[in-house]
Amino acid sequence: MTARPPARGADVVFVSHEATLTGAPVGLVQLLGWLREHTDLRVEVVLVTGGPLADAFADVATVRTVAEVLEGPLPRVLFLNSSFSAEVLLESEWPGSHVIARVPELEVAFDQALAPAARRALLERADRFVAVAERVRRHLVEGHGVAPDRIAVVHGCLPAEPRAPAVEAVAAARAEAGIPPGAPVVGAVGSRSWRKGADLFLELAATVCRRPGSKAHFLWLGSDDGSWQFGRFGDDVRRAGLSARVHLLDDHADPVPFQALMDVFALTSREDPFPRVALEAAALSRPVVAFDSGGVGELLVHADLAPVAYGDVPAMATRVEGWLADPDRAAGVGGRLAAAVRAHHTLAVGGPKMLAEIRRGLAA
Amino acid sequence: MTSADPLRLLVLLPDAADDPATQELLGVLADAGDDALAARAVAWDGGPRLAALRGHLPVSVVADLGGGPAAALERALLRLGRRGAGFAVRRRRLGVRGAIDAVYLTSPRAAPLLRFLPERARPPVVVMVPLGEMTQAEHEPLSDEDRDLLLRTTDRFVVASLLDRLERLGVPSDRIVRIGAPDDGAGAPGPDPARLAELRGRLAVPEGADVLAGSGPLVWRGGADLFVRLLWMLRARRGRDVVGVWVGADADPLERRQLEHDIAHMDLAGRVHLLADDDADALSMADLHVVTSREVDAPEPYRPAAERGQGLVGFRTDVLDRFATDGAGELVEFLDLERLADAVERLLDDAAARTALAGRVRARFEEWHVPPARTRFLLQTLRSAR
Repeated sequence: MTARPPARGADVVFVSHEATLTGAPVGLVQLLGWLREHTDLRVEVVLVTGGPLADAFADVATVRTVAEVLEGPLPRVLFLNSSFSAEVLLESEWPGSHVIARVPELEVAFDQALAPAARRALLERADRFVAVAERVRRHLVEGHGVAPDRIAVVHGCLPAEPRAPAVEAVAAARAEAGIPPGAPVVGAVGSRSWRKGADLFLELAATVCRRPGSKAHFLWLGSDDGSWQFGRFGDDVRRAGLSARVHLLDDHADPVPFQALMDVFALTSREDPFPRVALEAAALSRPVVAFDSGGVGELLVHADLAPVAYGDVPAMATRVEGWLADPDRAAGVGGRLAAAVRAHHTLAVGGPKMLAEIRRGLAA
Repeated sequence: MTSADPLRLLVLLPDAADDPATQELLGVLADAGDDALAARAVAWDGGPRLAALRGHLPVSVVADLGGGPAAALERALLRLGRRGAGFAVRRRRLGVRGAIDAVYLTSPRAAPLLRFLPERARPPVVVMVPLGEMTQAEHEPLSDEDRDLLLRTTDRFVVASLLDRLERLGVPSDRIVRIGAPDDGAGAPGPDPARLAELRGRLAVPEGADVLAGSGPLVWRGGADLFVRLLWMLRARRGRDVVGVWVGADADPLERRQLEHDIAHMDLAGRVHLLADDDADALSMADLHVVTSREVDAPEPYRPAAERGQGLVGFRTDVLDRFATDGAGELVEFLDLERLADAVERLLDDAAARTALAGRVRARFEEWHVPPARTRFLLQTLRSAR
């Protein structure tokens, strides 16, 4: 663990609304690691709530509470890693700080889930917005009247060298999931929730498994969201007669071996601005199919793919079946996606863009 | 004996209490008519409805056999499953003699009376099982001995609660007849044409558009989201207008917003209407009623369609399967939206098939719920048990 208590106010305070194993906090830990490696910025982190990534944050930056930060000289840049981090704006106006609001949310999260007071504070106080996809930028401009010149688009990124898991680890993941050796696997990663479309994933499984000759197994990696709907998700799996073909696993500290055993990655989200899990699957050369539900099309376009229409499960099933039946074609798609990740979505590309935004704030 | 011959029926009832079992029997007797039924009854105890029953048929009451020690011993022995010295005499006094075509127990609680039946040439026994009386431990009215006797002796169980699963007790499914609880009325009255026209206008249902209906509380497990996706699938396939009407109370604002998100993102705004129960009349606009519920234990999911005499399609559940026997509904496996869409599309394209289906649905509803069709069904069941 690195402890570098600053002699004066930090250059940048990053605020993460939580420290869960979800896209935004995971990405921030990786960005902080990159910044530490490539810059001399004095960086602190505020975790609004905790989670299993708290230690990882502490490894790459000094972690403070909001109260501690507010006691000392305020940072020159306040970086809100998600819209839900905006609640720190309700505790102070952060005078003198340049506020960068990274927005990895779209309508459901930004317009409905985010508390109105936090949303208002964010829209009024942020000096600069970093949208994680072009689709998010449009939402800010068209939905909330944010001036286009206040927004930069910096897509989500992965570390420069995505780690390929060992064959043994992948085999162990397959065994843990209960999937027979050799069976094709269609997978998804994320919380079992309405927004992530876990119900649509089950419908996809039902559709594919009912088509003649299908041998595919379906793996969802991610705990349920605590809602009563998805707390009973297993009932639906059983009723659909898919207990032997649909495998539900809770969150896993190391999802990569599970992602690596997926022959096709299915993103069934109803809304996902620029899903990190899709990037991770693409980096592992997995073909990715997704509904048109956010910015994922901005990744798929690099492989000459388009998302399928929102909620069009039969079309998604047809694409999945096509790839499972033609592994060479699937490998070609996966290869193009992996190349796209290397070219556009690693920290080697995104890190400097984010750093430029931070330096712009420091210079303001 | 032909179907025109009177059915010589021995009715066994636990008592003449003012309860559903007695009400059911009174309804059967009132609707059956003297020509169809030559019935007599034995009750273990009397009760406030005894006089009403005796207005329809002779009723003997075990408790009236006498208050002396011998009668008390006889009743105790019967309860214990043994026959005492006065058994034959008492059986004659109760009227358990002569030709009997069928024995009808109004409730499993009448099981001790089965001991009065002759052991040889025993007539067929049909038992009406009200809600939970055989399968819910908290309502268990029978001793182990009486339950064994009932299970051993009964030829047909008429199950008035579709959620009862007598199979758990080892009863073969071919000995179980499904029927709903009796209904006071004949189902939902259809709205007048002016009301329907007002609704069509308010909802801007285009002329010639097909209308699908679904119903139930607007909660996740009610499956309104699956109804929405079915509609989207049909509109994508058909190239002609299909409108969806879902009637049900809001439960959670978040769930409604989620559903509206799906509707908006599937370009179905104005084509799916989420209506409160006040607008239940809108269900009558439908060409078909679709059941997309995720619940397996909903008690009567067929009712909105059945009351209105509409074609019923949906995901298979035990209850719907029982209702839809012999074509009173078209069911597909859970989550098989493609086949559900196939079934709906075929029916929307075939008015004659749709009308025939609706007729079967309504007939099954009447058979199960509405006198006198329900009575005819019960009597038919009693006759066919011979």
